[in-house]
Amino acid sequence: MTSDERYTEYVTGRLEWLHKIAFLLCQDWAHAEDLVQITITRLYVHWRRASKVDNLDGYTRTILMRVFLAEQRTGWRKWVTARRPPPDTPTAPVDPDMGLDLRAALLALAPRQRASVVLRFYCDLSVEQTAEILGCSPGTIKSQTARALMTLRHDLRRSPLKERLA
Amino acid sequence: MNKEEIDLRAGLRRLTDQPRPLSISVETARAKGRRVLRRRRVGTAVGTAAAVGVAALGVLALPSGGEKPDGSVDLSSSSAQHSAYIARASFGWLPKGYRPTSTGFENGTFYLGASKGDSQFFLQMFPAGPEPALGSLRGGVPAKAVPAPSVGGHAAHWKQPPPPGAGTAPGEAKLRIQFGPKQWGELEYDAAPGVTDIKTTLYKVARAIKLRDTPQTFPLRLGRVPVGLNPGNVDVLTDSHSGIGWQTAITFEPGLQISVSLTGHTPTQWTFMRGAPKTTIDGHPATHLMEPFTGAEAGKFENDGAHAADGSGVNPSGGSEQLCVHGVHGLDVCYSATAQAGKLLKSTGGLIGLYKRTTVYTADPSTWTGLFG
Repeated sequence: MTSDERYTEYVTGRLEWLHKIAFLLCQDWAHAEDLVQITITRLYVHWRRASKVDNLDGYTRTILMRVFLAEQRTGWRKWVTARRPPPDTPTAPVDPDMGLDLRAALLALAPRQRASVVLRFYCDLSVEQTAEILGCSPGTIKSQTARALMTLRHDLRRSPLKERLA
Repeated sequence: MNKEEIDLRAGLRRLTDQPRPLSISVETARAKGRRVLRRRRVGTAVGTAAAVGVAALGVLALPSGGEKPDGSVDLSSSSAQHSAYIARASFGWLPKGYRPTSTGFENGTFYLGASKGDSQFFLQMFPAGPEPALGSLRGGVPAKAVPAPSVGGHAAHWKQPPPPGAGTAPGEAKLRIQFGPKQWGELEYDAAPGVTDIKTTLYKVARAIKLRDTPQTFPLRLGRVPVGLNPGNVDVLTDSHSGIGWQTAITFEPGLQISVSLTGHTPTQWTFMRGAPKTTIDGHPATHLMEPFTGAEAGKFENDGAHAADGSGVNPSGGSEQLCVHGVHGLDVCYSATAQAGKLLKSTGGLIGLYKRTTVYTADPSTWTGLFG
């Protein structure tokens, strides 16, 4: 199997996973595709090195996080997002009311807080692992996560958190 | 991880728990990536960010694939439809206050949930075959089979023993049970805060599980469905008092989705239909959208992937189509078909034809029957 074939096999198997993480970061499925497209392009550029790391999933996830955070700084998304025709699919029944509440609450978080929440509670990473990916200290992650939870609690306080999140 | 954090974790998963069609192109990524590498090699100072940014502009749609050129539609019920949705097991005993609140089928796995407030038992019966991989626990900790006592003579092991332990959370435990030579199941217990006898209670519930194939019942019967539309994932949620909710969601491949909900509580993902052209079907208020869109509705709905009906009642092009019928025995029924599903439904009257072949029951599960026939 050639290097390109290994890359294609790996990426094809991770698209859905990356898309879900990207969606949680940006709260928009189409935008999430843009983030993943850029992520896998960067992964290709670094494939020779990436293919040798022990935790390739972690490496790829780190690229995605950095793409997302860099975008927040540069605002390039304003011009790079092409308007696509509607997908050939019905609107998937995904979000109950409480799901939309959670999405709105997540969107209200600062990008790095949102990234911390996604890495800690969706990717199930430790404080230390999250800090490594986001390039900061574990203490910073702890305080960001605490602030994020406080914000979510405030935004979802109309009913118990469990009911809004279930 | 405290309870609030556990709830957040579950909420994030629910936001992403349904697969979405992807139009990400691996080939485009390779092509743009190669270009970046070539430029680097010749020393051209091209920033990676700009290069990959251009890559995002060049997104190509993956081929949808598999579309049948077959124009004929056979309405005869297939054995595959009749054998779909067989409930594999039921709870024979639950602690006081718990009741079944969810059941469903996902990629061949049958699941059954019973809850009391925020606490729940969740049983999965995997497709026949070897034991599925254990996967990871919290924090990416690889799950390992931990020896456990048998369950009513069935071999068992912990996927996640009651805490404390790496990868576990307070109140959680997951037990894998080999119900037969090629039949594995998993029982999860998410206990209420303060509960300490997790193992005892979980084993009592596990020993009482009844293995019996019975047809799953639904709040509607579809009658006959065109050949080519194959039963897919299903969720039947019957807890209107908690976050679990009350909704039945049925998927057919390729691309037909049906939702049944309590009238006035149509799930949020269908709210875009509120602005759709209104009509009446069998005396019930309804909204209907279909391709090709025309008139003022076109601009209104084009960004939702749904298009306005042309009023003919039958989708002329076999394009995507959505239909919601409200207040049928206290229930709202919504259908959504992709263009591919629309072609299969076209000669039998599209979604309106499908609705007219549908029998809608009530919110009372005692009135429900199987989905087909």
